[in-house]
Amino acid sequence: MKSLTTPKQVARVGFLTSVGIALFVLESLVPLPVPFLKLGFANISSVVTLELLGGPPMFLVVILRVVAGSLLTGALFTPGFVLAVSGGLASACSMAVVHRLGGRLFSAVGISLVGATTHVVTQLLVVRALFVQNEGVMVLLPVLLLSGIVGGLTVGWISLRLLEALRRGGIT
Amino acid sequence: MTHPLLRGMTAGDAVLLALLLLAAGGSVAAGLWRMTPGDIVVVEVQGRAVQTMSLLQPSRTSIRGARGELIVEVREGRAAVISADCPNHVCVRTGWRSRAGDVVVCVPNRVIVRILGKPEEGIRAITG
Repeated sequence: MKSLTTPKQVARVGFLTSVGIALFVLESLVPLPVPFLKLGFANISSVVTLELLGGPPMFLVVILRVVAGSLLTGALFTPGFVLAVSGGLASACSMAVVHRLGGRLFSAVGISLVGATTHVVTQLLVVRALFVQNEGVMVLLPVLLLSGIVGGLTVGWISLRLLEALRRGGIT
Repeated sequence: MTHPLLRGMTAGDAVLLALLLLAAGGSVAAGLWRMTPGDIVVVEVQGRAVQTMSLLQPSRTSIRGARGELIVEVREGRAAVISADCPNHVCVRTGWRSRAGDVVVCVPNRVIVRILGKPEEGIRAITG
């Protein structure tokens, strides 16, 4: 992995992963009527990693965060874990593709929006395929899409400000 | 000069956001359309409509499928295949359907029972 050649890069991936795990656990403590209707603050760590270090380190951060986060919240190998893994990997893929092909077309906000909507749509499809074999779950699509857009905007905006502050501090 | 809150965002972000909101709006509209009750039942055998019934009038219709006979019953604004000449009876187990866009399918008999609504009534229901 090209970006993980120096101790500095390894330290950064470790730090961004731990921030992601902390956000993942903190957000899981907030009670919600529907378990998968959340803003996805943990994705701040993925977006920042993608912008600072590139695609491969982001995948590392996402995988480590989902596994460690689920271990801490006691959700490892539960249906929720399956959703977190599939949603996390799909959104990481979509963000990596947009980051690679989009060039300067999108800021962290656009990348986060793509990731968040991919996340919710993937989760819904996985629920449809594995857990509820009924078209009926598709009525959730509008709600999930809207929550994905709100979450994606929020997370993207925070990531953008964070990257700006980091850049000001000489971290690029 | 852009608003400080928007600093760093791109035109691409705005276009993407607009497209996503459009998709969300479209899925809401599609959801509302699904909720509208159906008006008519169309029975298709091997892709051809062979029988049309009103959902508002109770009826019991015998349909010749590719393999055998099916009985489609309409009652209380709902339709169901109540018996069918097929091995698994997926169509019968689908049960009663009432909303526009619903379908009951019998694959061995190549039969599709579609419930259709009147689009203008659906729109009236939303604005009303």
